[in-house]
Amino acid sequence: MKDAKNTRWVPELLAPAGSLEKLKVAISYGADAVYLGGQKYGLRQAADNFTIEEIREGVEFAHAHGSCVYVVLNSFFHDKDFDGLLDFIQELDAVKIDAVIVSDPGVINYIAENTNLEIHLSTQASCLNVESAKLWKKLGVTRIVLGREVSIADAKMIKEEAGVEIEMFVHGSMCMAYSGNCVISNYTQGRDSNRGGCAHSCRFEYKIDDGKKELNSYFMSSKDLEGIRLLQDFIDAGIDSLKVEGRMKSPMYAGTISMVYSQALAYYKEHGNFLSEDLLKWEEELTKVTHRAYTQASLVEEADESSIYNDREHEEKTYRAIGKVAQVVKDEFIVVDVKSAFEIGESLEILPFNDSHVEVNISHIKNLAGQDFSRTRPGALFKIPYVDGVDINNLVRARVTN
Amino acid sequence: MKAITYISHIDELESLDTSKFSEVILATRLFSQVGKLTIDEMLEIIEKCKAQKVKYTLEWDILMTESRFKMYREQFKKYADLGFSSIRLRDPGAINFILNSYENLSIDLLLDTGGHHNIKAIKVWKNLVGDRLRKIILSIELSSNVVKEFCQEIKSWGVKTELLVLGRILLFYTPRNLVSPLYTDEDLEEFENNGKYIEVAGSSEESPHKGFPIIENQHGTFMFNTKDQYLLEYLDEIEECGVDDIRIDVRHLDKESKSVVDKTISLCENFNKEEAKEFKNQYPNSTTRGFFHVNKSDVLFKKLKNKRVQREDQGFIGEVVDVVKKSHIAILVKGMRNEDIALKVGDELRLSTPDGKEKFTKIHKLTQTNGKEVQDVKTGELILIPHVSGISVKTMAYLK
Repeated sequence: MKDAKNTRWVPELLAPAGSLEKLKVAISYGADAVYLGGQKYGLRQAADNFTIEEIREGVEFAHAHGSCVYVVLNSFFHDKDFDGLLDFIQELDAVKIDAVIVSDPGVINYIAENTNLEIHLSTQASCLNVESAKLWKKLGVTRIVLGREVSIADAKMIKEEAGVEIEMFVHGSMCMAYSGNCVISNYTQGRDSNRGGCAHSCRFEYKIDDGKKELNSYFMSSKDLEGIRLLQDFIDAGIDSLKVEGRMKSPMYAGTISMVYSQALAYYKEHGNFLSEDLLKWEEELTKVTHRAYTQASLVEEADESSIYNDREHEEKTYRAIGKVAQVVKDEFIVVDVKSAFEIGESLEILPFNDSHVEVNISHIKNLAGQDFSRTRPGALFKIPYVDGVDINNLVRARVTN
Repeated sequence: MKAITYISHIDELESLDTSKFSEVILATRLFSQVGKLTIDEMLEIIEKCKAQKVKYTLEWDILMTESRFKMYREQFKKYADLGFSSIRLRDPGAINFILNSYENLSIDLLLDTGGHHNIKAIKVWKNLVGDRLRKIILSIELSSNVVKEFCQEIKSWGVKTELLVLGRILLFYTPRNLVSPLYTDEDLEEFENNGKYIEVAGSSEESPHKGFPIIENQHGTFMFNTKDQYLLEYLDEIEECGVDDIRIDVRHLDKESKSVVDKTISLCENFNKEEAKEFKNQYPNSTTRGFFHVNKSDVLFKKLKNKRVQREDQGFIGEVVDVVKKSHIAILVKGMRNEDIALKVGDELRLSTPDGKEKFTKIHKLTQTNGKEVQDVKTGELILIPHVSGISVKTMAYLK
């Protein structure tokens, strides 16, 4: 891992990078690797996917920080989708990405035949057992992102018996279906869920009718995964990479989750355990980003009814994401790229990359033209008082007061 | 073109003219996603199949985590020698297990889900399974011209193909129990009497489609489309595509199932489009031809995001991050990597707005956020240029 001063092994922390901005934020807050999508072939058609120059810039940034970049090509291809694939994968090879994440066997074979790219199997392929892992390995896959239904104990067995690298989800939203086996959007919305068009119909409320009575429920909606208390189990099982879901989520999400899990893993490297008072702090930090109620899902035992999230969205927030630092002019001011408005008199928390948060009391606000304001507006840049220890791309948040 | 169908009760073997079928499918509660046969019932049917010289195949289409797979492997060992003409497999683990452990068993690959919409993917499995591969079950998301191309290629490998022409369309499959938590112990007792097989209908205000059939059993929860796949009108086209076996899955129709199967077989033998259309009106459920004629499930993708706010690589300078009317436009300079100067006074810019407009401006002044004027800026810097009307945040700036 990046920190060479301690020798204890910990898994790679793999964060989502929905944009170049999120890539830089996630890596700056401690992610060992990020995954991102190009403008074709990923499963997030609505995302701000990367151009090849953005991928190049992202790879340079990541490698300069000792991190890796994986590119997802995990849609299920129709024959016409192969048009342009050769150029794209050769470009990826040329900009020195670290691996591609693929689910379609035809694409795996095509990439193996035409490039030297390392191939990771996407969770979309629903690899769930030792025999399956052995078979994918035969196809040239070096790492398997296991299905979310697999427990850590089973994952250990798969790694040992199949002899492949194993990646597991540690945090984020969950598909309730076996990934790659849900086509609700295809038939109800005309959007292929396995080519990037998932409409999240599983999050809808449904009326269930058994012929005798009707019940309303969000029965197909899952709570979000949180594996912070299972890090020791992941390490003991030798899981190679811990993946955070959420390319569509905000920089605040990518940064906060990367910060928390990297801090926890760094603590382990130093102490060889997670018996830290900080555990409660880490858990509290994870509640400060927008999320559904948390579950450990299937990581320890098969997920039961307690993993069903019986609500449309989680709106209860203790913190709100203000934005991020766009510029620091030493001893003069800090420029904040504002996503959520704040006003004079508020106290903001800025999260440095390697330290605890810095508080800034907002005594004045100016726009970039130097005009005074009492309150900011979203989608604009504003200057706030300078405080020490703040960098560009630091996240800014504020406690919600009623 | 022959038919293949499920046998859910021993009496069906007597009532169906089995000479019309290439074989029958045995779907057990143990190995099949929504199978209802007990092992005893399966054994009884097998005996009768043998007596009637009807070929039978075992469906093992569940996906399995390692812990569960161990149990299913052990179970399978008990029944592997029952004379199945093939095993229908979906989980790659089960495929590998059968390949390595039972060298005389033929394999039918359920490639109707997952990434099997291109012939390259199917060929990968063909190469892995080799001579043991007997049949490929094609996805119903393939359009007829693609089915035709695939069938021609697959036939050249000496492998058969199968397509669902009549039956439920599976939309969602999870190993979790999602329905039973909604019910009381008393309700569940009733379900228990039904062999832990819960059937309900689901509807959402957020979807115009009402009454999705939902099943929960020991393998998890399954949701099906509100309309059944119905391709009887196109049996002539399907035959012309080169499909070897058409699958009829009307297990959910209960009493009507026999007449539907009989009618399908009759249409297979003496195809009549008008009759097939007319029969659709008598079919007990709503129907769809799905994606048989065209699969356009990617055409809406371009509406999912504003392409105009996505950068182009050529000439890219940066993104507008702040606008104050009559004062400035702030650009976060990102482009022109590896060059000392990214932007300088005198450059001409093309500004591409999120609402599709293009504006052009020549830079006369570059101002830092502390008010200092400069002649040029490097990548990564935040810089102000004089205001240009009609420009908003997220506008992309390119060198003209």
